[in-house]
Amino acid sequence: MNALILVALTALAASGSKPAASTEGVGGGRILLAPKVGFFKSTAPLGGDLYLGLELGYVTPLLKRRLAVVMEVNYHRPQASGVLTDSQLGGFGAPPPDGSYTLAVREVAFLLSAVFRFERALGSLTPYVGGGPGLYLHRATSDLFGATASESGGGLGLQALAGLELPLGPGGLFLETHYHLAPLDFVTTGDVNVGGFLAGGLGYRLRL
Amino acid sequence: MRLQVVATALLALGGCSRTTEGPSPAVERVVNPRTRVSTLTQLCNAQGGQTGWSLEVEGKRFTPVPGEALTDTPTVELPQVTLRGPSTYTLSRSQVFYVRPELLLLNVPTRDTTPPVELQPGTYSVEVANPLGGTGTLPDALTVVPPPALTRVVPPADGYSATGANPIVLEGRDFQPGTSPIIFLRREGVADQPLFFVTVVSTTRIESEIPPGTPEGIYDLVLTQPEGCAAVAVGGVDVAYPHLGTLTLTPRSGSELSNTPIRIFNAPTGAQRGFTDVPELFVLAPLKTEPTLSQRIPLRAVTRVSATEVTAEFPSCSGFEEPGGDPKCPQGLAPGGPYALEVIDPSGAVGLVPASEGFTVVAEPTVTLTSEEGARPVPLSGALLP
Repeated sequence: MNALILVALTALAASGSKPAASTEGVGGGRILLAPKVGFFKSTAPLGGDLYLGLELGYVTPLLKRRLAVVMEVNYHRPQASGVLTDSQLGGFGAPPPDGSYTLAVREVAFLLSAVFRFERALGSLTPYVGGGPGLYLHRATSDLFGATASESGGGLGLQALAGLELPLGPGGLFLETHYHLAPLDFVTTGDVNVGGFLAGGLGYRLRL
Repeated sequence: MRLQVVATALLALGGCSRTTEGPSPAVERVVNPRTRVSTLTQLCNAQGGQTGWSLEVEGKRFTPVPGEALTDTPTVELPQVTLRGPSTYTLSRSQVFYVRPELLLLNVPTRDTTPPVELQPGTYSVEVANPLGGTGTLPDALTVVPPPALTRVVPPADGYSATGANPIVLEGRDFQPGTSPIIFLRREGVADQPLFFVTVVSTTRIESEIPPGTPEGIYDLVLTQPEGCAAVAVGGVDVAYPHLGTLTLTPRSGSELSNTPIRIFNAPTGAQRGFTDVPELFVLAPLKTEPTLSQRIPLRAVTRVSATEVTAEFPSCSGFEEPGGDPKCPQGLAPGGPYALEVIDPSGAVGLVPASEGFTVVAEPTVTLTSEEGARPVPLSGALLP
């Protein structure tokens, strides 16, 4: 939670240091602000889950103002469940306890992307692609034999995105898809990529 | 700008450090299931078969977690148990069993297991660490002891006696004063013979008694400590009693339907002994009620006539019962034989009338006479030996 506050402060500081940029940009301001929601499915054996994100971007003057730098914060908490059997449960003639478990992996990611926008390349639609590094903060919480335990940590990863934006009002309605490479090596999870696909994200991007 | 750099660095550092949260275990008691009621938990550092000795760890909040649950081979991550004392040993996963949050079972290896692990004798604390939680420790939870060793079994000073207790002394090392080891005599083909009245005098001396009536022979003496380790004195006990002379009896047969008065003669030579008082006499024979089981049945009305002669009543009809019951003698000895007799003199000397010279119980034959009135059984006496 402290990390989240720290990042929010960082983002605010970054946006606050460039007040003049809001008056420039293609078709509006150069600051982009976009809430988004979607469905995320990890490539690890975790269930799908609701994906919430908030994007803050800046349209640079580079490449004819088609290159934007975007910082996104997102959150999702998929979980897995199953039944564990092991010869070390019970033993000495004692019946083994019920090995049903759940494992929830909460992820808060800070993604820094370079996004190239093909302004109105498809009639009024603007396709865009991008990618960049991400800082992925994970908290895995397990529940087994009635006891709950958790482990937390973070690491760097990579992500790529593609989207299509339809101008609407002061901004644009967009559809977006992501792929995340987010390695994780916890006791409870094992060494896996808990990233995966944002199967579909919907959002609205304001130009300020 | 400087603020951003510092903030980002702090974020990266905080985010990448791994932290865990979970129930912290408490270790309350360690129990050797072989000595469950004992307040002092001991563990032997030898023997224990293939896997070692079992221990129970009682406490609270022992918390396994799923392990590698997002891989193809999910497992259970168990609490880790470490014994700390004169030596330190952390049990492997295969040596720890989880039963419930309050109970773990351990297989503690010894120098004789595969692979061998020799814990040095002394007092150990037991530490349990949950995979994602804290650590619980119970100081002085366990005492590791070496196995006993037997070097000699000292027989009774006056030799063994068949009629009284035979005090023996076990000499060796690493005995445990204040405990109650189990001692028994072992001989192939014979049921183990436990010894009672065991006193551990010191770490090198145990006093005990071989009970009266123990059959003669060479026995292994097995000493088993309460925590499980044992020592064996192979052929360490040679039970041999003084002997009566050659014993003969007359008559050597009698009817199954009546007890038979007999005379037993003793012809001692050399160190052999005569009858000093009224001896105990037994016949080794089956009863009609259990014809396949040979039993040790006392003879009745034993009287000493002289040092070389006794008289008695052979219980062909009465068996273990009082005489004078059912005339068909259903509780009597099974017809057959000859049966051997044992003789135990009050002096502790023993003698045997071997089966080849023993007593035969003769069945009452029935023959069928045929007459005009039909078949009718007529009892006839069997042929009796002189």
